[in-house]
Amino acid sequence: MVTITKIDIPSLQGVVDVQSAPLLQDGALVTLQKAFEDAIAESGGRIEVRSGFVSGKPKLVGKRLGVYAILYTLADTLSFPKTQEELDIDLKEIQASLDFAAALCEQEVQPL
Amino acid sequence: MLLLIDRDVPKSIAEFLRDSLHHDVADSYRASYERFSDEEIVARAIEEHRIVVTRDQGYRRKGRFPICTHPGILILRNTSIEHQKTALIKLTSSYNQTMIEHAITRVYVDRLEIESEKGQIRVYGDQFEMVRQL
Repeated sequence: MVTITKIDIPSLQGVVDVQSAPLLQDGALVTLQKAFEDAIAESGGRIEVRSGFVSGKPKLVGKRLGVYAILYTLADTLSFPKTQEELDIDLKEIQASLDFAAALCEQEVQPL
Repeated sequence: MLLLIDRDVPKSIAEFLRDSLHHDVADSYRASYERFSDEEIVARAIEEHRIVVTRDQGYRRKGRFPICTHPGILILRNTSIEHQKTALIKLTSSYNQTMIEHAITRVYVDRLEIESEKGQIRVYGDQFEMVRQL
């Protein structure tokens, strides 16, 4: 874990409001900035961070649905079809969430 | 209770609240909800006098939605859908609704944690007795 004190990810500037983004708040335990950016890229454009939506956490593009909710539900149901049904999402959106989490984990295991 | 279900709450929980616990449920699965910000969700809840049901802890960030400025926010803290249902049965049958009105409440399977105006958290057990204050 690395603590960051400011956002300097070009793709997120003007998009993320630090006050409403717990993952990026000053002093918060967060992953490396590049890891975060890479993880969003790994999602194939299906994951985004928007200020004021889902508390500034990573979420599905165009939806009020955080990655956390998809991962919680998948871990609970242990079923892709059940997760799709519970959250009204498609398989690619679950896959994007898993890719996002995997990319973060990869960066955590081998920090830059 | 009048409830507004946030997008991160599983569909079966929304149906359980409506069909089994007989609450008046507005759920967020309709397409028009998809692009609402958190502030717009709370504004809608205020307009319709509904308590927001969510799994998003971000609602309780300090100063964001102050106590007594909204009908109430319930944050479901159990990952398991079955545990969430159990917690909601207890909430409906054991607790006085006025406890959770206009407050931010975290709902666990075995307790409620209700934030007060001064930022203190009151913990209530199964028999809705106050267990401790944090």
